[in-house]
Amino acid sequence: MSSIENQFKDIYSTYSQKVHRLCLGYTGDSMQADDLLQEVFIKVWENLEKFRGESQVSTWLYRITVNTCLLYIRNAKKTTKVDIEKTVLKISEDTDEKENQIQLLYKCISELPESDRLIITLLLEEVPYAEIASITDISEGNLRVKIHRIKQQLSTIYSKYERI
Amino acid sequence: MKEFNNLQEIWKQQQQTTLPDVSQIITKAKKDRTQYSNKVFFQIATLVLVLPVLFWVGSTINFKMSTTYIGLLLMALCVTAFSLVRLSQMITLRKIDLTQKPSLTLNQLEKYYAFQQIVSTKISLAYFIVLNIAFVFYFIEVMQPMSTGLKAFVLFLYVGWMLFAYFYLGKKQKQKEYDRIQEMIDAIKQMEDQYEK
Repeated sequence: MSSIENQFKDIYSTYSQKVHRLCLGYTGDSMQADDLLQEVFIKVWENLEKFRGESQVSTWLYRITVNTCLLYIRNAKKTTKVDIEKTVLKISEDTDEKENQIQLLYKCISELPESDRLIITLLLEEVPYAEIASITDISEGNLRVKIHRIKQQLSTIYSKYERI
Repeated sequence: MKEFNNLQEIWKQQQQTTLPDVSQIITKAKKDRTQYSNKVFFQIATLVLVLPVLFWVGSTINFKMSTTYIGLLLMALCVTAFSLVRLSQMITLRKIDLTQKPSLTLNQLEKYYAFQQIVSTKISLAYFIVLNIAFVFYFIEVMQPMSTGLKAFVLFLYVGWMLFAYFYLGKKQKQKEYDRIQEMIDAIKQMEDQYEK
């Protein structure tokens, strides 16, 4: 087995879950997140030989993920807003409390603008600020301001729907 | 109001999702590359096949008028130019670098869609006009031996089909394409703005 293949397998086993959650945060739809995950790792496979280790693997990989998500709009299939009331009602009948909260959180993220969804999901994944700044190419100072605003927005949306 | 830390706690409670096996992804990546190569090959093959056919028509049939050869040449030019435009679009889309800064990717995308819009409007119109001029030149000699009735019938069919193709099929398709591309450009611009804010 080639070293590239081994390297790819290592990256996949370490990051596939995180990438999937990032894609799910962006699309709010698990089928689309599955498609995006595949697209991301196909791009990783295609570019792995060119990766020179100038940044961390995670930064490089998340950048591909962010760009793949942004590129995904060309298919015009993206889900932007979800009918929260209907969704919550549906979830409440079928799943437990913890799962309800997770689903609701995803739905609230899907109410944010596209770039904010990606930033907040990276933050929820506990990616350091400096790395998010490098992935998204936003200055750290500007990013802190943005994150402060997005956190507030997300908390407000969540609280609003939690009461429904 | 729910604190962000609480939301992060909820986020952490997620269970692992069942994802495709890595070997499936590798197989798909390899297949994807083959499919892309096949597409490029098909575009080039179409071009390579149409040109010899036109050349064969021009060289085996002894046409008397130079207008016929001009017609054939224009047809060859149309097919070549349009195939090259399509091919370059395919390669450009494939070459969009996803490992660079997102703002640069968005910028590349915007340029791609802007060019696609030119292709689906101005370049398609030019293609339609030049191709029809080519047929006019070609028909001058080819239709000469026909009776007036047959000439009128062939012209009626040709003009009828072209008008239907351009004003009904083409316009409908073009408007759909234009709206879709414009939507893409607007979405990209909106995201560029989001990044700048």
